Amino acid sequence: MTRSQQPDDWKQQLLAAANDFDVKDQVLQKIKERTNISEGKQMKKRLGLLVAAILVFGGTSAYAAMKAYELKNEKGEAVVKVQQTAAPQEKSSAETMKTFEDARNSLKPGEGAAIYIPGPDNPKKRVSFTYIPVEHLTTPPLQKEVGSFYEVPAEIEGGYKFLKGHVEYPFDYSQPELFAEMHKEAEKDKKQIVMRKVSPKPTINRVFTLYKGSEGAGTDGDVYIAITNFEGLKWIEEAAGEDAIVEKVKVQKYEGMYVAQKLLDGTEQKLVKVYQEDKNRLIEVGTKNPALTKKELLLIVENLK
Amino acid sequence: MDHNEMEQVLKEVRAGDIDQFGLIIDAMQKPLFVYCYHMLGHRQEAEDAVQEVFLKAFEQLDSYRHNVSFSAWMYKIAYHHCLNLLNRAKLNRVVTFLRAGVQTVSRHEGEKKIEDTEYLNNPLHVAVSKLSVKERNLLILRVVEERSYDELAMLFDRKPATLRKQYERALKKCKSYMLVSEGGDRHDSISAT
Repeated sequence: MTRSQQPDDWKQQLLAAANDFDVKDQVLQKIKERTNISEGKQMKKRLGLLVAAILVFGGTSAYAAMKAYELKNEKGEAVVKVQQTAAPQEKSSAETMKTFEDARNSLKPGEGAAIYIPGPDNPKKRVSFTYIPVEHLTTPPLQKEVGSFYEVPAEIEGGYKFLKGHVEYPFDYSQPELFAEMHKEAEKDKKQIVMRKVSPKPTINRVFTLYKGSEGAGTDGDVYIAITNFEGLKWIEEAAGEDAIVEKVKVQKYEGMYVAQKLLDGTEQKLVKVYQEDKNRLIEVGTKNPALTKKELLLIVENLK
Repeated sequence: MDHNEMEQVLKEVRAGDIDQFGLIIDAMQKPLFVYCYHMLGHRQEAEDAVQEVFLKAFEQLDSYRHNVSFSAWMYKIAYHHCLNLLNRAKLNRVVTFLRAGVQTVSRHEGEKKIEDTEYLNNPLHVAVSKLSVKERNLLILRVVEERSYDELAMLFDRKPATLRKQYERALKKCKSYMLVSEGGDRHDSISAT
């Protein structure tokens, strides 16, 4: 070092220290461990009505977001995000979906499983979780399972009566050891699918109920009400089609969101979402019955306890 | 990684794809190590500090606002983390001095004993280690990262003109320390760049 040296020379000297430095693996490992421990950091991503299976094939980049709508809590943090997107790309091949469905159908009500399907549809080697809920055809057993989390009405505004309902439970979605074991088994035995039965956590994730009118739409019902427990959730994100109508609405004392969109099967779905911060839950009231209007959906939400 | 790529990666990380955070680590780990290494003057402590900075950044990702670049935001976390470490070390300094029986660098707030002999082998490193924490922070971000005064002002809530003066003062000091270590006269005339 001489007195003629200037900061430009110094830069090279100061930079030289980092030649072989690499802590990527250690940091990612620690993040995964901490995420596993802290349920409060759990995030959840749902797509439309695919509620029974948490499919994670293909990652999150299959949708090109055009516009985002949000419901926020009192701190101003977004808790519900609806991303209006261009038409979704095909995420998984029909063969993969069939393999997954076959595995799911082998489960009994109340059973859950971790499923790993290797192949080009799953480049990140992700493991999916699925759960077969126990369906209740009357409100008393459902109410017993739900407890004080939500008062399940036997009838809702407009005269729609309870048809059926179930409770969904979350899993521990970060189990690196289990995942590594499943990856190894698939690789070693060249398996197309590896499945492990796993028990979900006892906390309620979501209560799903279906209602029908006097001339109800058969087993699909007319109106569904889903109550999501926000305990341990930071936010929920969903995709809506590019032609979707997304509007802010005011219902009960809360700000809500109205989303009307065409589903992949061509039917139209109308949906009202209301985040009840004081009760730490999200209420969604939806219908695929074209006769039901936005106003009627809002009335149903207004009268829910 | 350019701004748009970083935004895309951040979006995916926020959506729950932890592995995407690996791209941020790839892009930022060496610059952050350089920063922490010269702030702390110790290789092992700097390695640990970088890991902690990434963990903090991941946990606080939702609080990142886009008024500064993501990398600048990371440096702010790194600065406060190093400051905490140095303040903690300051409390132990007297004990360390008695045990090790060597001179400590104690002229400025938050400075710590330099124990890393590898670090002390370089006259520039020694000069940097004699600066105050704030001066070191400024010198590294200006010289190595070439951050503008405006960006640094936004980051540390100071006026750009104040930071410029501080930087020029730090530069002079650093050069002065180096001249002394080379056997030169402390009063040699050196202009700040």
